[in-house]
Amino acid sequence: MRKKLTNFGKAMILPLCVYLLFTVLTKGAFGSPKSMLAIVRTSIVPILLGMALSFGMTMGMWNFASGAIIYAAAIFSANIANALHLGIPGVAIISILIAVVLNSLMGWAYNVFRVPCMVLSLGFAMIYEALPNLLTRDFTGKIKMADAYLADMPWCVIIVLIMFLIFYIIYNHTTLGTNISAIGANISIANSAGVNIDSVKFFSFLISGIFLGITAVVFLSVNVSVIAVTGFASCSMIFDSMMGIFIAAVLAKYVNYCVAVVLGIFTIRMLGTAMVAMGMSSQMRGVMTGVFLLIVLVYSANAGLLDGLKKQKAIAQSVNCELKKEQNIL
Amino acid sequence: MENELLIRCTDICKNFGATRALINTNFELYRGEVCGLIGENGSGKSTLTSIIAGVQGATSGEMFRNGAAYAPANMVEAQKAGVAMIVQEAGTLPTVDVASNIFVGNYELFRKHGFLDKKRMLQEAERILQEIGADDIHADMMLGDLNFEDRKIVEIARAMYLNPEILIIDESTTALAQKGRQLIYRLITKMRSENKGIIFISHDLEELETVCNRITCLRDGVMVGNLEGDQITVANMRPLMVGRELQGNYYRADYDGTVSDEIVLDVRHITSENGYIRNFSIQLHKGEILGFGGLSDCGMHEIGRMVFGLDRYITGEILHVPSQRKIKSIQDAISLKMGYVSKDRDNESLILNASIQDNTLMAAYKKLERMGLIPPDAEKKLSDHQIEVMRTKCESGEQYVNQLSGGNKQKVAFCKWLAADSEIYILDCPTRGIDIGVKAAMYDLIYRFKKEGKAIIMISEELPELIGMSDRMIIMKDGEISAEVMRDQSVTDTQLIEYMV
Repeated sequence: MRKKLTNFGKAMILPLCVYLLFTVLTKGAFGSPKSMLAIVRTSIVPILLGMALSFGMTMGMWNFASGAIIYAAAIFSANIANALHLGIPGVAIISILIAVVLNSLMGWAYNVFRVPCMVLSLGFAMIYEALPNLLTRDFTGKIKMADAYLADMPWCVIIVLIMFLIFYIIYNHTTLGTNISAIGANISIANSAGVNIDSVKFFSFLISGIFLGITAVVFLSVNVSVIAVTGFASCSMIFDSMMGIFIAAVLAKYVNYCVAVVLGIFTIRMLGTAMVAMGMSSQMRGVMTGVFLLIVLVYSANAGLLDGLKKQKAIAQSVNCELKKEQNIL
Repeated sequence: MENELLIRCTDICKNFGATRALINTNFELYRGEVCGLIGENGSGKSTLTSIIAGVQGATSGEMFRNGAAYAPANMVEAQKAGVAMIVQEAGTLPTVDVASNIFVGNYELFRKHGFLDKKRMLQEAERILQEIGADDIHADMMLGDLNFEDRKIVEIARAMYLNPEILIIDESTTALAQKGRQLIYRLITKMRSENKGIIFISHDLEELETVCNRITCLRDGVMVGNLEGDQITVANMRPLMVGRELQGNYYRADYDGTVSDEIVLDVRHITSENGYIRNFSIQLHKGEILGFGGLSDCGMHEIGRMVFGLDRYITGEILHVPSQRKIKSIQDAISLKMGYVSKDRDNESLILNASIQDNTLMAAYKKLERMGLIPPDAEKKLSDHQIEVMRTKCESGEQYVNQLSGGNKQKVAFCKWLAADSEIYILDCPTRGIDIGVKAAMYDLIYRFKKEGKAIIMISEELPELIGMSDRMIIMKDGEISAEVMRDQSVTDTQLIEYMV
């Protein structure tokens, strides 16, 4: 228990550092409860999306079509639900169905065509971005202002908590989750041990589709009106989540991976908001976010380097001592 | 019960391209038997056991288990049929816990109402770990936090959890220290008392003498003999492992091992990064074929890599004597006209998705450069010339390397350094996985290099090749030189094996 608490403390160092640093730099403006609450709200979509992306990214699969699926699911579900007067529950169900179908289709294509997921998802991103433009009259999905309550407190937090619980259970308490971790750890060993790689990957697309569908509903609620995009513009919405997952990979040494994903994405969102609070331009924010990510990843990648160099130094010293002794004897 | 047959392999053949790894091999394992499989590197021991364990299929032949046909499609099927294997290389999942490692591929066993019963999985893992005597490893520990030996023990637990009737231990003890070895010996004793069977591969002949009650020897993919009871002695095992006449006369015919006094490479007191090779020194002479031999983990491959600058060394220096320049990187080595043909040809020597010409010229562009540009006709001319010299079987220099046979790929790997006019060659297992015809061509080429005054370091896992080609043989054991043997007609495999094991 004590070790767990210590590890949790270690995992909290990074978000706490970001919090404290920018609270000091903004003379307290950033760290206020009101500001933190705003960050929680703006973190909802990236956290949901991050959970969706995690299934694939754990196995080394990058899904750049996720943003396009969210746009397509949001626009189509809004249009269909409006036409059928189904309200927000209808939007949610249709959105999940569309996202599951679109993401599973990609999963099927991935298994059949054996194209790297990054390449395949870019192709699908173009197709899925084009779908709302081709199939809807005004390329837009709208809901009534009164129906946008899912973006408000406490609904948005409740949704994240429920989805986090599902995410946590799938990851830690199902054979699918354990197989995903096994494939991510070493695909060839998992394969030789009898894990059905194709099946696990396909189901990860399918489950990820459910999370994308939910993300689409919240995204629609936050924006009320979602307009179709083209030219990979949808990809931009996935970057906060992806960066958060990179940080999660570092934090996962100390806490459960699912918790690490939430902490990682929240840290990235905190950083983004803090830089806005400091009045940084969007270009500068981009630079600073990139630098932050690089520092975390470089630190993580080279964590063992210092120890390795120390060991090498000790070996070299002992060999040189032996050599001197030999030379003295001679 | 005692003499009940556990598995029978009949006329097993396994081909890797032109290489015949197993030739009509017959093998039987009875209850209560600890059968040691011996043979030189490449004799087919691991190939046979990997077929039994479902890692790969046989080209032809049949296997029978408990009287019924047995042909496992993968390791899981073999495990379900009661055959488990502990392999030499580490095969664990570093980012998940010990329990998930033990049950990988079999998580379904712990499914309850659609969910994974993690608690039961952890309990079961703890039970297995205790059963095999690894009480200090716990099921919830992260694999990445364990040391190499404990990770190996987790692999043993993975092999044992389905309570196999046949356990294959493939050189696993080599990687283990005393704790792991004792654990394996206890397992062997226990399984033997339970009337189960063990196939044990080890290069440690003393270990085999202690542990086994039958020894079977493979040589060049053929079963050549058995030892039982009192016959199992180190003295009897050694001649069984060797005793082969050189097939054909494709090694160099002369026994003149004299070389020039001129030293081209002076390796002084080098130590590898992990400290396995310590304070290692050797000199390479002009026109010398310096052979390195030993078991695969003896450190000879690492020496080759350090000399070419592929791996760092943390003490000493490697001096190119004619230029008095030190070699610290691959760039240094190439600029000093050194070439390296890796044991891992497909990953380290060739770009498979590139043409023969691109591969051949990779190290020779500087030579072809004219005022900063590389004339295409000069590229083609040099590449075609190398294809002709090496008699590489291909459609043209534009053909992709991945379309070539193993032997022809190896020719391209040689061509790369020939085209760069290399003077010093480091050849790590230069004839690995190639047929006799190409082998002969390679030996011819190596001998020609020698005659031209080039210096060659030839690292080999094949003793006949080492004896047949080298002017001087360095036999390594545990990262150190265990013997230095000069070229002589009287040198035998048996003599070298004594230094190796």
